[in-house]
Amino acid sequence: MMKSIIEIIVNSIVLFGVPALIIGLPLALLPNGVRAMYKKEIGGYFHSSIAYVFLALFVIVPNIMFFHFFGGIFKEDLASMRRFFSMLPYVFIIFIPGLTMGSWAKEKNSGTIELLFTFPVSEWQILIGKFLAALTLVLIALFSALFIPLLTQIFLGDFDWGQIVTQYIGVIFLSGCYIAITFFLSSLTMELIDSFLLSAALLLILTIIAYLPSVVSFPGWLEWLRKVFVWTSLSTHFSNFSKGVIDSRDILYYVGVTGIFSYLNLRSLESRKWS
Amino acid sequence: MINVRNLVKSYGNSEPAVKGVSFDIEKGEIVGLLGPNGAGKTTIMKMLTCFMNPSSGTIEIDGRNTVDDPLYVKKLIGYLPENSPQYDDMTVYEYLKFTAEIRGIEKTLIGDSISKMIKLSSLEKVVSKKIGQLSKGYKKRVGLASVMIHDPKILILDEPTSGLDPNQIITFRKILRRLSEKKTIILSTHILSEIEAICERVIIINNGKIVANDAIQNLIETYSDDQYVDFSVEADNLLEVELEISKVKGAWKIEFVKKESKKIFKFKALVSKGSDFKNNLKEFINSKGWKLTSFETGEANLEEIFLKLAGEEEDK
Amino acid sequence: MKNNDKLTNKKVQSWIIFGLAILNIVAFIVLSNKLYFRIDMTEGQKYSISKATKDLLKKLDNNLILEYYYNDKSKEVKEVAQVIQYVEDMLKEYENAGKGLVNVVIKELSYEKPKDQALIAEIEQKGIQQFALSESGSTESKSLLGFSGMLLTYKENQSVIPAIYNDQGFEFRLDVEIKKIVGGGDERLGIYFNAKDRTLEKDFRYLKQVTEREFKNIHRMYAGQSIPQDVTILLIVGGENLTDFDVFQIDQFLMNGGNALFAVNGINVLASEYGIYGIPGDSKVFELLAHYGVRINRDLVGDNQSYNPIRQGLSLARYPLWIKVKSANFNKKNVMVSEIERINLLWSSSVEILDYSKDKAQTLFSTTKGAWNQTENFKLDLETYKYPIQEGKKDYSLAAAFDGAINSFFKDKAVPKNENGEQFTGSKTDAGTTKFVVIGNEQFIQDNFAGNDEFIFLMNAIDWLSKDNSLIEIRNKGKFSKPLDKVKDVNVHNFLKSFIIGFTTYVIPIIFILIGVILFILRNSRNKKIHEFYNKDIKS
Repeated sequence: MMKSIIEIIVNSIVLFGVPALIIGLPLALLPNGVRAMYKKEIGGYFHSSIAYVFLALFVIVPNIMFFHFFGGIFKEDLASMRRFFSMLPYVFIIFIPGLTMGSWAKEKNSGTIELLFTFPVSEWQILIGKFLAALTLVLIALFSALFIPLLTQIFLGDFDWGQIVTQYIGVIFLSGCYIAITFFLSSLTMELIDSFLLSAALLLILTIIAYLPSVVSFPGWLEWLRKVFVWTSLSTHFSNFSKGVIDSRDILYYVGVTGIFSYLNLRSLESRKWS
Repeated sequence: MINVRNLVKSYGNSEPAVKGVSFDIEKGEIVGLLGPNGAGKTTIMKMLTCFMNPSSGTIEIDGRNTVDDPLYVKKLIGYLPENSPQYDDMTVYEYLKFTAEIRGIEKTLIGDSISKMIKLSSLEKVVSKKIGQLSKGYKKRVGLASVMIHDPKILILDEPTSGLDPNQIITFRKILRRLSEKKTIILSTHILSEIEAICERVIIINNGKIVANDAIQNLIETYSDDQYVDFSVEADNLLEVELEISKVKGAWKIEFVKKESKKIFKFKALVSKGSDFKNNLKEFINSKGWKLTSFETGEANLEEIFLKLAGEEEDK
Repeated sequence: MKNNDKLTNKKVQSWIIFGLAILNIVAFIVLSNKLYFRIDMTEGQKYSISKATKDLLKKLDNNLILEYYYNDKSKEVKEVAQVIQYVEDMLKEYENAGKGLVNVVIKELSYEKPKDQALIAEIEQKGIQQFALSESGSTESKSLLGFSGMLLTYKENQSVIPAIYNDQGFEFRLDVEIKKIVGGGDERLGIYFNAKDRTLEKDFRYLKQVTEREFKNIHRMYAGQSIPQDVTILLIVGGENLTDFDVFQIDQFLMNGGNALFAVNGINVLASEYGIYGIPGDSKVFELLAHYGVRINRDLVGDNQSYNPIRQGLSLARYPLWIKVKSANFNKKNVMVSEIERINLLWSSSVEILDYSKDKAQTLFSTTKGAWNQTENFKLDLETYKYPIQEGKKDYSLAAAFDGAINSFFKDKAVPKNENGEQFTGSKTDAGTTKFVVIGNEQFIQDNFAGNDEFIFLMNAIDWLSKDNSLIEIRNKGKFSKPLDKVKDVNVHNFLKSFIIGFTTYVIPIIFILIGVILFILRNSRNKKIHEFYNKDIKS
């Protein structure tokens, strides 16, 4: 009993410490432009009701899906959060664009983008500040789901915590990736609804593209295309994390996609200078 | 302080919005950019503040190029965009704090600089109200406070008084005058009185080009010799008169005003004092076989002169 | 215009940069697919395939196709669904480790779908077996037909795993099949039976099942028959009837690099109408083994501290001759037995490693310290069994493994003639290096007495004897699911479940909203303070 309590405490420290580091470190190390932007964005979320609606829905909807529809832990009576995590790439398709649709579109629409880019900070600082703020909100929601294994461990049965730590590491990469993609699309549009629909559509395609080969049968000479589809998909790279395996290729994929879309985002923001 | 050379900005393939503009602004000057809507004032300002890059030509501010060294330039400038966009969800205090932080003001000094700005712009009453709930006048003042919080050397204000009622305009001008002692200020407007009230120098822009660039006093002197002439002509065909009459020498401009009766047409002309416009007109009319029915001279209104120079009337 | 040149220059430049970036990304992807690492964070490295498997996959020089089929009904049964999930995950690991040579096909089929019928018939013909599923729901239990099996294809070879409904040992089973069709395992097993009336089909059905999984051909031999040339591992079950010629054959087999497992009773136990009694064994094998340095004693070992109780009426009788070897008494340094939890041995004799082979042989498992041996008066009836005088209790070694050089038993001796009186004509080898395992018990693999653990030991021993013993450690890998079983009371269990669902789904959002309200109040009061601060300022 004592041992399992200590285990829970240690694991909680690890689990809450990782995101705190991931968000805290850039905030502490990067210039004050990032920090000011982060504070402003977080304030923007929490001073309006967006954050609470988002958080409440982001907890209620996946949990209901997990407990009642996707054969979650209590249906199987197995101490595993795997189904919860393998559901997330799909849940994110709606939730992340909902959160980030305004990131640039709103600034453009209200003209405040002119303020932002005449402040003496570079574009990437503003981007990172916004990125971390959105990531924070997503992670708050996700880490509140940690109460499921914590309470279950106390009352009902032991978990494989190595797996849960991996799942959370994976979900940080996954949400970063989704946020970067939706940010980029938001920077291309003026209207919130355009941004939302565009983002959700692209995410849907990128998420389900891996299942295309199982619906449509590819002829032998198109085998490479099947592989490309599977490789490109956002969800296939999450399956390793959700089962408890860290693969450097998955990390590189997510970091790479996040990097590419952030770069495109910067370029699209800079394009205002030349157009 | 600010040196602009051959500035051109084109959007896509359409006609350039700014077509080769050059000017210099010295430290401590207050300069007005005057011109009708769409003349290119805002575009020039966006380029000055590094929001946009010029298609060609250079802008140097404090010796640094805006394209190569935007961070340095941005630090020197406080820019208030047209309509003064702000984050409506923030309170005035929060917004000022945010701008102070993002401009890199030291933490210990932030409180002081906010207090100073609040006093300067007289924002005490609305300090904890959300910006979205404020009147336009207050919003502009919040905007002004936010762009001056880091004590910039250069203030660039795009249409700072548009949308304000007369009382608000007066308050706003007071604030600007208080500032004018230490700072280089560029403000754009399409209202002349604005310029007369605040600026030392005016750059008049029309259709992407500088039409005039001079101290206000000089402009007034140059154009104070001018006067308006109202005259009526009796003739058969209005069209013919309109076409021909512009050939009369001695006038800046001759415009048709109205038909007084079926054959009598009223015109207005802008002429320099001492020119021989009256005699030229008489001779011309006689040569055409028409009749001059009336001729009156009056003092020219400065505002009208500038607007004529700018080539278009504002409310068109 | 000069400016236009600059602009086009810039465009060209940015296109070049774009192209280079794309190239870089492609290079990066290729490189990262070559150089990568995987860390399995799960308990017991559930999803890591072992080095043995990786080495096995490295040997591939052609495409290995792994087809996994299961039906929709199997997936509805939660225990089987777990297994299916695990198999899918593991197959992906195989695909990963196969560097492009392993092609995995996973298909869910359904008896109800007409388009699946043909395929189901085909795979069933190839050997995939149906099994009965029973799902015990809360109110009713239904019985369904399911299948979950694999087809393996390598070049023209095909192999099948008929049914997979347990994650335990899956990797091992798959590896064995792969080994079979890839052709790496050229080991042949030969089994020497003690008595003519014993057959694999009748008395050793489990043994047959287990060994046939790993060996294509199994030779059965009886006393007097010669050992076929291709046999590499010999299983000697009982030694009573072996002739001198047989012993000579075995000796020569070992001298020439063959390996063997000796399961020979020191005391043969017979059950007759007069009761159960033991007769000391009389076999030439004893002499042979003693010559090599491992002696099977003509005794029975009893263990007071660890034995299988016998149910007699309502009470449990003490019968210490049915030894249960405890997990602590297995040699943890030997891969054969390090992971085994228990073995049951009925009427087993002790095995002694003689001094002159101490450095070549080691004990595999032994009794507890509270054991004794009986050397006479073998009246063994379960009900009336009388303990012998127990002198010098100690731990008796029950099995030993030998690995090293030996001299032939027949060195400087005459070569025995075979059954037909013919002289052995081949050349005789006098010395060699070999591996063999000795256990003083032959019952433990008989159908009546053997269980899962005994066979794991047997197969581990065979693997150890075969040239490739890399698979031993993964034979027993598996069983990873973690049930929620802390609370036994169903009502409490269900209450706790609802509590957790309620708390995490509904209370947490409410907490978020409460935090929101608190933040709102805090912000308002801060705003008030700020307002007062500045307006006091103006008055003063």
